[in-house]
Amino acid sequence: MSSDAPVRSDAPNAEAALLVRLQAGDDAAFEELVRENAPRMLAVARRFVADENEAQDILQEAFLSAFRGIQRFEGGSKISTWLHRIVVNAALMRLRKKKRRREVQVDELLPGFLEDGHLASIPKGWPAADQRLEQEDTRAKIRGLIDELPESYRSVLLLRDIEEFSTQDAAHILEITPGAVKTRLHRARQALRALIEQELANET
Amino acid sequence: MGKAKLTCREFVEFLDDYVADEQSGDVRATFEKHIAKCPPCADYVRTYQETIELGKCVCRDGEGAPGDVPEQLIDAILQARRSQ
Repeated sequence: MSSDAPVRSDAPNAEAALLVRLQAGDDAAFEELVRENAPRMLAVARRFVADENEAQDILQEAFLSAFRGIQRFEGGSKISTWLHRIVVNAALMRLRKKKRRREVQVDELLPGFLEDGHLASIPKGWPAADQRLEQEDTRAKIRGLIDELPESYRSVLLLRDIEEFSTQDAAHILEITPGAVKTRLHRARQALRALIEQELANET
Repeated sequence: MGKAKLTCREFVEFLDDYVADEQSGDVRATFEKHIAKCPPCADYVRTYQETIELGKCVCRDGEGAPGDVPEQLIDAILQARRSQ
């Protein structure tokens, strides 16, 4: 969520004022916080879980967690950035408790190499991807392919490429090393690339 | 990664650093030389980058549209806060 809209010059003051009201327990401030942020935060939750009820549960849990933690929030980041992280943590906690559905084997989707180090097969590519993306069913299929990645890879892909956390922050959230984040991200992208290639080839 | 020549295997292995532009100038130049001479790797890096963009595009479809959150959910969150 680093692609924030341009910030008005009075935005930092408004943000600080809202925080003061929240920490004072002002009901109207909490309502403002929820109404302002719930749409984007629900979208984040939906990226982690497919089930709408679960996404709404995550949103509710995250806001309640934020309300409990508001006194400890020192304003070191934007409130929306702080909330974003809480939603992601709530979503990941929920995923850890869940049994995953069918997952692909990442190793089988990585490129093969000949003994001399050349690629063993020529990538097929997808010349008309832009046009196909205009079709909702293609977009839904690609979302489905992301969901087929093993959870440890899917989480890294979502955190780094979609939610745009830094490698360090993703490592902290997932409690793994930055090196593991980098390795998993690269493998997840390669596996997804191969899945998309297969999918688009099947469509032609 | 200080070699003047790369194999495809090495290219793919360190492709993420190339895409993130996290390489020194001479390493990047070696990667670019490889792309220019190796059509399969050129295709691979293009589709790797497109994968990242496609992921962003499909995951952010209709993100956070106003009115997307049921009023009942907003009420439930605010009610739960009052009961905390």
